[in-house]
Amino acid sequence: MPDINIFGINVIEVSFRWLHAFMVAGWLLFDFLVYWLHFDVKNPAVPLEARLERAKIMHGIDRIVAYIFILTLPVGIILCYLTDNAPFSSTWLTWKHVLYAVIVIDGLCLIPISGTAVRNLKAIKDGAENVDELNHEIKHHMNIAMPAVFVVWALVIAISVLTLLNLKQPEDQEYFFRDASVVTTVEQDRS
Amino acid sequence: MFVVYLLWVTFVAGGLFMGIAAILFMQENGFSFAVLLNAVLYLGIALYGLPKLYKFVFKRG
Repeated sequence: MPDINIFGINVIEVSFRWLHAFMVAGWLLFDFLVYWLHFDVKNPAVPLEARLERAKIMHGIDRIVAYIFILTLPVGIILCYLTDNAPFSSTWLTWKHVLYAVIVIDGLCLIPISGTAVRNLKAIKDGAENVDELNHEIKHHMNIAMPAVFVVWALVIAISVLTLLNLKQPEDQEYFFRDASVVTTVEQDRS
Repeated sequence: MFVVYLLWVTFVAGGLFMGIAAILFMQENGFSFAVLLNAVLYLGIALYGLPKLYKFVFKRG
């Protein structure tokens, strides 16, 4: 890939770094919005129209989160090769990929229960007779999704911290937030 | 529906890519527990997603 340098900055590499960081920030932000909206959606005391409206917004935001989730891995892999770090070339990056795999597995648990709220609320609006049962299903599915959602947040934050602690400047490959001499000593001690 | 289709494609393609890359890395650089864990997890995701993707693409409706 050709290097496009402006004022000594590799534009492609830096753009991918920022894109990767913004994607993770956006993922967390949108996930918080969904979490905030879910309280009204699962509450039968809130008017049906308001619940349905919030559920649709929630579903729309969830779709953005899904796209971010889908793009995170390819963008990360491209970044690995742009920065000359093959996916398993360093210990921290290898563990980061392990954590991401756990997030994917977590996501797999959430897929079967996504979409319940919109579907059930539409059924209630259309005059379904088993309103209590449909409301209970919405609440039940949202409550069992919560631990998985919290695990995703914890892992995304853990991955971000891990990345920040191992972030290097593009030019001379010095760590941003760590003393390189100390890191070298520790790594030498291990070997 | 498109996003769901894309999700399964990503799970299968991403899982296979990362899993095979981990195995190849170990073949070249020797055993590592963390890399093995990557191989197991990602290949597991791909294997889990493969029948789901097949069903989604060929047996819809």
